Amino acid sequence: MAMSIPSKGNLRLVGETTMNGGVFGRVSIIGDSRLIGRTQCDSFSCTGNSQVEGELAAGSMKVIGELIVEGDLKAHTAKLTGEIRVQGSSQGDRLNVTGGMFHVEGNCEYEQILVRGMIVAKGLLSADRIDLRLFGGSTASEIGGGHILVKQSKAMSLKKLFVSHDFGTLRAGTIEGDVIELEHTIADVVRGNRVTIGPGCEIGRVEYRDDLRLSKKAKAAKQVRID
Amino acid sequence: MSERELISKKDLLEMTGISYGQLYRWKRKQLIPEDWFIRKSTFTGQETFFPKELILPRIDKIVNMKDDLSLDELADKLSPFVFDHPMRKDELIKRNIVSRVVLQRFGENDPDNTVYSFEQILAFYTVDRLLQSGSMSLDEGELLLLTLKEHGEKFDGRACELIFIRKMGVPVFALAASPVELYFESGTKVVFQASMTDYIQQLKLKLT
Repeated sequence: MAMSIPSKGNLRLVGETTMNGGVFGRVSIIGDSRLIGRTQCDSFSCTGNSQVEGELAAGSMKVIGELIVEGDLKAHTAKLTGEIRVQGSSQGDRLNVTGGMFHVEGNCEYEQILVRGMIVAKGLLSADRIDLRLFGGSTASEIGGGHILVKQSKAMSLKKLFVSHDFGTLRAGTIEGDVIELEHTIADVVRGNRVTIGPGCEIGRVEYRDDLRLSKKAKAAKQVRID
Repeated sequence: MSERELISKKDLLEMTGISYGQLYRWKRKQLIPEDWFIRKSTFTGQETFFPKELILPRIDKIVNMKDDLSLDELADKLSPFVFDHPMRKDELIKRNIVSRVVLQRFGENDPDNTVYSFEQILAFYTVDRLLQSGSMSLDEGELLLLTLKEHGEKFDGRACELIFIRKMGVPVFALAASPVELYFESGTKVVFQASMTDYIQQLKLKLT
């Protein structure tokens, strides 16, 4: 008897819905949805609130609104706007956060990470190229990669007019990379080949191999050149 | 066994000439297993250390192979987990992966077109290697084969070591989760100790 292989169906959820997870082609959510169990799909788009009770693995992802993933998040490319919380780790190729907050309990590992907003990684934040334009307090226990750039978002100067205390800083334990450019960062240790410590930084110890540029508006308690 | 020698990340980068970016990329691709990253507090803050005898050959391998293979292909080859790659008996002999002697002795009842699973090939390969090292006789090989067949699968996905001891000429084989420290009574001779993970890697390279 010939067995028919079920083709991957698309899933479209509108309004307040609860659905089981599974393997899908396209998943699009408008409204308030809950997916129960591991969800795998070619593309995932969500406008509104959604919650995945399990792992979410998507080829491409686009979220505007709120998303909670109660497991790992794996995405080839992820474009996120809004508040995204991942209770496991997150891996993939490109992560693009334009506005809002990305919160990961575990490690956050991509080839490219671009954040305009806030990012919180309880574990390692790692990418070949990390570009953080911060608009709000961000943290990472460890940051590692090739090129690491941390700047305050231009919109932050506007925010400062209304909020008296400074929020747009990054706090990190260790930052390691080949080329590191930091602004408004508080870190215990920074290790790199070419390191630029810009205004608003407070670094416990800087270890560099080739080159160190230190802003007058920055504090670095110890600077060590390693040959 | 002596304590594992550690190398700091800083020294490692200097010694091998690789960059932070490469190291982190390989870590992301799981070319370097997570548990080799040993975090320790030093007077200069948190530092990462690696087991020296593991990381140096691994980096050497990655550097030498990455020209021919993509990182993802490399990750498949280097991962410690047993992968599925069955092969026919006659092909094993033809490609000289397992010697004819071993297959004739231990697989004589199987016809030439028998397909062996990776686990079976691994057991044959291990026996073959030990035989060729000259420390084991063909009869003892049978014992080893039984040990691997009976207990090998219990280490599915975990690093494992093979230990071969002899006392008063009586051979004993043991499999242990590595890293392992063992001390024997006097008069016991440790004939052979090898990491099965190494054999798995060697075999994977030969099969693919």
